[in-house]
Amino acid sequence: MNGLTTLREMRPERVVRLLDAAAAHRDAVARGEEVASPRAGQLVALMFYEASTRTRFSFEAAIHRLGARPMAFQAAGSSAKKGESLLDSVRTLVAHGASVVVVRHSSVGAARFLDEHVPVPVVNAGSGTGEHPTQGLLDLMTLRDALGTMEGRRVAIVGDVRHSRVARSVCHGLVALGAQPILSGPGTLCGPELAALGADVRPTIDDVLPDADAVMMLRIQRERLGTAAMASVAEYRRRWALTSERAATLAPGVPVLHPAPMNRGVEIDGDVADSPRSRIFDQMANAVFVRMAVLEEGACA
Amino acid sequence: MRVRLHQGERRVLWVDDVVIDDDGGPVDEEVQVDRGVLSAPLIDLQGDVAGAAAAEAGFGLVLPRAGVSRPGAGRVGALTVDRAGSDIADHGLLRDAGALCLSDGDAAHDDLEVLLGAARWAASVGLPILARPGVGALERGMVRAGPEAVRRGLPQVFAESEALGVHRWATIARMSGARVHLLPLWSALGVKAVMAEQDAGAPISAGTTPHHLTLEAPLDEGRHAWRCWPVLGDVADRQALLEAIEQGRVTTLSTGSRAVASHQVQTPLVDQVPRAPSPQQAVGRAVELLGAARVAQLFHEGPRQLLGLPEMPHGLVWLDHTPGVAPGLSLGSPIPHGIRRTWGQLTA
Repeated sequence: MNGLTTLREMRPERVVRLLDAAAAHRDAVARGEEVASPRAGQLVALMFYEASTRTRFSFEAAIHRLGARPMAFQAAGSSAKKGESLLDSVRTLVAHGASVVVVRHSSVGAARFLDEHVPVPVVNAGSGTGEHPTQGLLDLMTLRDALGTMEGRRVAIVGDVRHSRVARSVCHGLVALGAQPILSGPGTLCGPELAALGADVRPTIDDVLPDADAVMMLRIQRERLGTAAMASVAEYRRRWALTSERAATLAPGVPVLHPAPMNRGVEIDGDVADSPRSRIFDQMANAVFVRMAVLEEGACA
Repeated sequence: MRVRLHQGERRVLWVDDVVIDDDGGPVDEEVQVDRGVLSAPLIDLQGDVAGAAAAEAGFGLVLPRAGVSRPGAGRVGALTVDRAGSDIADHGLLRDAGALCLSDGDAAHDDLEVLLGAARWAASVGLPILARPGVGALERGMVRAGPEAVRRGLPQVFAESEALGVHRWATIARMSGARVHLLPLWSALGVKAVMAEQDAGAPISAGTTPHHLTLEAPLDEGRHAWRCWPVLGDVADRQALLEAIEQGRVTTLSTGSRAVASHQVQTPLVDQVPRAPSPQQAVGRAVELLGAARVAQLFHEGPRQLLGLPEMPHGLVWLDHTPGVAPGLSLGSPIPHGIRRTWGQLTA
């Protein structure tokens, strides 16, 4: 089916169409208009096998704005505990009338597998360390708002790229739009093999900032600190944090993004996150509109 | 007194008792050095001796065996926190504090995930790693494994430990992009492993010590009161090391073979207490075996390139020692067999 499971090799026209649709929804909401959607009255299954706050709530908000209704599935307390397979669980909800399935799962291939086996569109809300395509789209929307055209733009992504499904989707989306991702992070978290994402990989944040038209910081998971993947916070900050001092060297108009949640004082200083160049809270707002566009896409087809 | 020494293209200026770069100014005497070699100061990657004693032996830079702090020595940063093999140390901070390389010393850690992470971190910081190749489970002994150890009932160190350690570090180097220098090699199996990995393109280099080039087990019972770590090999091990140097597969020498004093040795072998060879003596023996030019290269150029150090301006005169032949020229020589540093013995 024509779900949204990945941004890899997505046609640029489709990316642009989704971003334009999201912008249209945003404008309509800003004007106080009701959305007349083909999804109105339909059921949308939300199947979250991993914990989520932002993504889940923004999908719910998007569903309500479209006039549809959510079918909330909690993995804990479900038939998954009884050994029911993922596919059977999804088929059950489809049989109960779900027109779209939104799934977050720890397996990288879960969403794609479902999209190939169920008769309704499947939307990937995050699959292991694979992709998070709707997050990627909302980040692209925010970047486009700040920069205008994306063709030829260089977007720095700094931090734990290796384990970030967000970064992976963003890189695929940037490539689709003709932009260049430039990555940086510790070798354990952002190694040269990530050039396979179509990215330019550089040693430290100081190697990417001078060339960046936009900067996206990634959360460093504290549980990785002081282990086989990370040295200390002090060591990390010296080489990869977006500190106030580093942010001051950015050209005017260079936006700063972060998929949140943030570790203030670790990968990004608080006053940078709250500065006029920060688009972090715009990203959060755009999340609902992007997900409206994605949920509607299958209905339009 | 200003003396300019010439050897081929090389010139150094000796002023009083200090050697400095040639400033092109007038000199009291021009001397052509026909014998021996002009060399930059030695660099000891794993030295137990620093300060005046090391300078006397011709060492301009001594990196202490990891974990030993000595005044005036070059800096070695820890690869893992406390060199314990559990957590990655702050390599960037260490580099900024002057570390020239990273090492956990003699430790042979087994947590591959930590070693790989640490190597990736080191690669991103640009510091080389000095590592001793070994696998803990196969080296819990005190002498080289073999018939002698069996006859004497001594716990054994297997050469397979070094070979496995070489392959493991070569894999880590390939996966991480880190520069890894394995030292000190002691066995033919270890040499074979290094060569195979180098032929396969692994970014590793290797070093050994003058002790392992010049001495071999088994030691004469009753005459030797010290043990070497890593253990001394047998004649085949020593020969393999010499051949590896000849082929350019082993590129550094260092004095980093720890001698264990007699009172620390609890075996039935000890009757007398001769001293372990000093670094000076070890270097001198290496000069006898390989010639001054090669030893100078192994003790200077190999380490200098590994550490990424610039060309060093200071000069050092080494003699090719020929037993029974008067040295003829002695100026700041290292001390093969007691040649003293004296201005008065200068001859044209």
